[in-house]
Amino acid sequence: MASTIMESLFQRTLEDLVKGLRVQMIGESRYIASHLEEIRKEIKSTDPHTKIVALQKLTYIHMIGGIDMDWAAFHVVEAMSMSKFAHKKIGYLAASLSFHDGTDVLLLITNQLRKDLGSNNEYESGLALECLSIIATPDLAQQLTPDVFSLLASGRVYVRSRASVVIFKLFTKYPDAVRIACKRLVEKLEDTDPKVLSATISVFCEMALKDPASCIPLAPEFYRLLTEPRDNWLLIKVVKIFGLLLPLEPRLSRKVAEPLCEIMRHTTAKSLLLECIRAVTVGLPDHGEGLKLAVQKLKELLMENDPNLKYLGLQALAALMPAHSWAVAENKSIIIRGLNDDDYNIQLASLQLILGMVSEDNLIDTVHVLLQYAERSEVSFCNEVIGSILTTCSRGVYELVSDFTWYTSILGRVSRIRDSAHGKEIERQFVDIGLRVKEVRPDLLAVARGILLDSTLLECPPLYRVLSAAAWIAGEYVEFSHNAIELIEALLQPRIRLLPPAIQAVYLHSVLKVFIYSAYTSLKGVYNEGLPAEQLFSEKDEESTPLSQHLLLIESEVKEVDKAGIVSEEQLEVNMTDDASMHSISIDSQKDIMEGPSLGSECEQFKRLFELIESNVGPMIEHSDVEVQERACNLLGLAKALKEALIISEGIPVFSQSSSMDNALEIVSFLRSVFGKELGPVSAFAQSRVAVPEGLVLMKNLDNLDGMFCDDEVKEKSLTPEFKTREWEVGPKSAESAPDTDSKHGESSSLLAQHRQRHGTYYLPVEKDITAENGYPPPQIVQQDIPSTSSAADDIMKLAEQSLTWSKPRQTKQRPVIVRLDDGDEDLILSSKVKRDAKDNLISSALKDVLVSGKGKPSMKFTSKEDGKSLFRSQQHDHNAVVEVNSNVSVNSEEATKKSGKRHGKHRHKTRSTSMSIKDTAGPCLNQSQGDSHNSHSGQKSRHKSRTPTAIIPQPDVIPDFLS
Amino acid sequence: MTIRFVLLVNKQGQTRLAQYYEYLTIEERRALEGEIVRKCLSRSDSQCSFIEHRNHKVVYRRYASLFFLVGVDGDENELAILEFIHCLVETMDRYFGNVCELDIMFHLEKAHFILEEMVMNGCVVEINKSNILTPIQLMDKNS
Repeated sequence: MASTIMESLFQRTLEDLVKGLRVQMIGESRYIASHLEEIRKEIKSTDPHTKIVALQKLTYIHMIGGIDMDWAAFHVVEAMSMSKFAHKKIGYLAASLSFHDGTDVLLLITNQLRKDLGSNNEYESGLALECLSIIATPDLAQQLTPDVFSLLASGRVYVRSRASVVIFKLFTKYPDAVRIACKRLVEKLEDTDPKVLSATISVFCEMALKDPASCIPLAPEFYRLLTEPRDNWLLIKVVKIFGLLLPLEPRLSRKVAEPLCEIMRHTTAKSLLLECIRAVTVGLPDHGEGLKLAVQKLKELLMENDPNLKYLGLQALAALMPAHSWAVAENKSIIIRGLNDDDYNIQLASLQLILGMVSEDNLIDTVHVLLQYAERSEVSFCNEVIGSILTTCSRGVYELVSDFTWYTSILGRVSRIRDSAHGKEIERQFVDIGLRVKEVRPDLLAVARGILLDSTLLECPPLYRVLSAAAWIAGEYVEFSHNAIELIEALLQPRIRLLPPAIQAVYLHSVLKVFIYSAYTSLKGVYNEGLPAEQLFSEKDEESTPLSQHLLLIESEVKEVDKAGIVSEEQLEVNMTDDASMHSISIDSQKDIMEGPSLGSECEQFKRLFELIESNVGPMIEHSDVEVQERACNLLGLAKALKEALIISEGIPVFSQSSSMDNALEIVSFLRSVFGKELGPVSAFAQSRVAVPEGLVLMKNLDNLDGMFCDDEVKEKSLTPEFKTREWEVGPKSAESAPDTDSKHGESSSLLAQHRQRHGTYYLPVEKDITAENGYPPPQIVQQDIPSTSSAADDIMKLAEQSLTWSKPRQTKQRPVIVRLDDGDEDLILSSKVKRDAKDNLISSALKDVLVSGKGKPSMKFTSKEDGKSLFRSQQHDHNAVVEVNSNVSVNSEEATKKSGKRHGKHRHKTRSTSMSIKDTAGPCLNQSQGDSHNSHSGQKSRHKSRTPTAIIPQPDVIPDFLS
Repeated sequence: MTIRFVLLVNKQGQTRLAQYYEYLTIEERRALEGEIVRKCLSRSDSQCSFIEHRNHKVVYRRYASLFFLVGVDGDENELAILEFIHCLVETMDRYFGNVCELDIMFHLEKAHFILEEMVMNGCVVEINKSNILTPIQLMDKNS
């Protein structure tokens, strides 16, 4: 005994702890740790006061520092069971703060909770309810549902209102509770106390949010609450519920529209007004008057210079936009000004609205205005703007873009923004446009050239993907370039070593393509002076196949040689001459060509090309990345082979051996024909369209094929040495002996051609599109003067307001053909239906059962109405249950009228009257509606009216018409 | 559940009161508070009082050196929540008399009790100041 007195005398109180915490010099966590030791001892004390103070301190530490207090769970339970209210409250606080589903002592508190729920002290019941609302588990919910249920009928408002909130928590944990308690909860909608009503309507609002359909039978109750004068908290919830119900039950709109408009006209509370605007937006899309009123009120909100109202107003406009773009157009200037707001959120909201209003006509103006904003604003907003421009313009396979020259210039412009987060998307669009829009390819190449020449971009990792796209375009559409050497120089500038290997590989491949192109054109130029080149060199790959195989062999050989560091030039030369003899190319006339005037310059060009490639690609064959290494080797090998063929002695270009020159030309023209094949977009479903051939079983169990794998391994082993020897073999013999493995290019392209012939239907009709395109005028080049970024924001705004026309789109210019796939291009986003978890479904189904079987529905009225039949069938209402309801109607409604007779004046309170010393930032406020007494009379009347029992005998197919 | 959490944070970003109406582990709470508080504190008076953070919508209001943050469902009426915050502050003001950060630090549990009386399971159940304070004053008298 003495010890406990000493303990409580010398125990540090919570205040000591907090004071100590404020002046401690040893660091908060160490201070807390030292106290925790003390608390651990104190909490075991038999003296209730000592124990409670210890628990209080522990809870405090838990609250401020997030210290785990699971270890004290049992002490918490002890504190909860103390008799003194103050002690009990501290225990309950600790429980609701620290208990969770995994706390094992939860099993011990069921009886304690039950006892406190049933306590005579309303505040003790309140404690237990509060705690239960936080820590309820399915077990607790199951065991305590009857207790809470009985509290719903408690005479004390304090308990009744809290019980109705807690019962919802129990529903979510234990859906069967709905069947027990829902009826009584519905009765609470008739409660005389505004607080109980408010709590109950909150619960139904939650239920409606989870499953609006299940609440439709209660529409008459909600309607009554809507029309009676209530405090704004309650009205907000009721309006919100109607916002959820109206889209499901169009017939409600007739009834609800007028009261909603009435509220909008007269309320001074902006929160309620906002809620009504939201409800009208989703619920009354066809109600002209209501919409007009809502938009007008929205405009008033936007005009007020309050950032909160502006933000919410813009959000409301965004909700209106899909169906009523006129509402957005009316507020254009406010929206555009929003782009310049201090607030990022408002900027974003404005941006979304502006992009939502984009049409084919104002796209160019809009994008220019947005880009100007973007280039002057912070990185995050800039990225946001660019991202949305990219998505908007590419929407529906660029359906908004009519001028692709302009759009590629925009892409080029956004490619220069250093901190861009959209490199990947820009890359995708560059390539995509290249594939889809044939006419814009020259412009694309010009843009890509600009990007490649700008060596500063090589220092911006976010833009690497863009560079990769630019390099690809340079290689793929090189035929539109005027200066291929310049492209190669750009692609091979020494700083490309800064790029990641994958992109270096793209660069190298593009170099190969550009190189082949430029070699081809110059060689052809040389020939053309004497002979028509087409006559000599048909581009058909089939014809050149044997040579190409040979060529590839050489290439791989060179690679090997290079790797080994030995150059066996003689071998190469032998190959070339040997092979040339097989081909019947007329040589005689070429002697003159050699001495032609262009020869010298062509040779110089070649020399330069070779030098460029050798000096820049040479070091790359030792690159650590295999992909880069391989491409570098290929490129270098090819270059060397061509050099051998074309230039014999150093410095003096001698095309003496015309056979080798022919060879070279053939190599080049073959490769050119491979690279020259046009690439087209491929449908995402292309593979699925290939019919499974008859007799092919795809779902066969392959387990029993284990034996065959062994055979495969053996084969592989025998293959490897053969492969090795082949690499060292040279000459046409090897080319003939192993055509399959070596002629990758020729093989694949001829296979491709064969496949295309056989399965033509599964290929995109690229050629067809191209011919169709010919009729279109070339895309216009739009000159845009971009104002200097220093120009004042106001100027831009004025410009924006003048130039952005949000009117009906008009088609003035023909768009170029964009290759579209019929299926694969559309956004593959499936209608995303919100998945409710199983429990929610359980709740709503239980709720539906209860409500539709109407056990607790006094004032529902049913008349037969044929027109709504199908609608209600689809909502799976149980028509048989309707019969039951009507038998109850007369009894229940009598009770209900009695109840309503007892109704008396409600206790009202103002939320905002006390003077405050704390800084009160002025803001919107919920004002109590004035003149309650005046309105309540008519409210009572209508209530009585709605309760008149009906004696209509229901038909089997009766449809409940809730608001007739 | 409309209100998901209520936070009281000072200008330095220290959490002074935290009440969650859905269970989060201590680590999750810390991460969430850290991010949201940083976002809120960086905002100026001329900006709106709402921020969106992942799937949370946060309504906040600043009173002197204290920020009151309320995390709500996407469907919740923001202006009503601002009103709720104001009511909470007024109630605290009445109870403590010129409430300041220190009052809340020294009487954290009282602040919790006030909140408990006002909000239950994420629903606002009481906004009348005298009603809110009755049980708390009763307890003060008893102890």
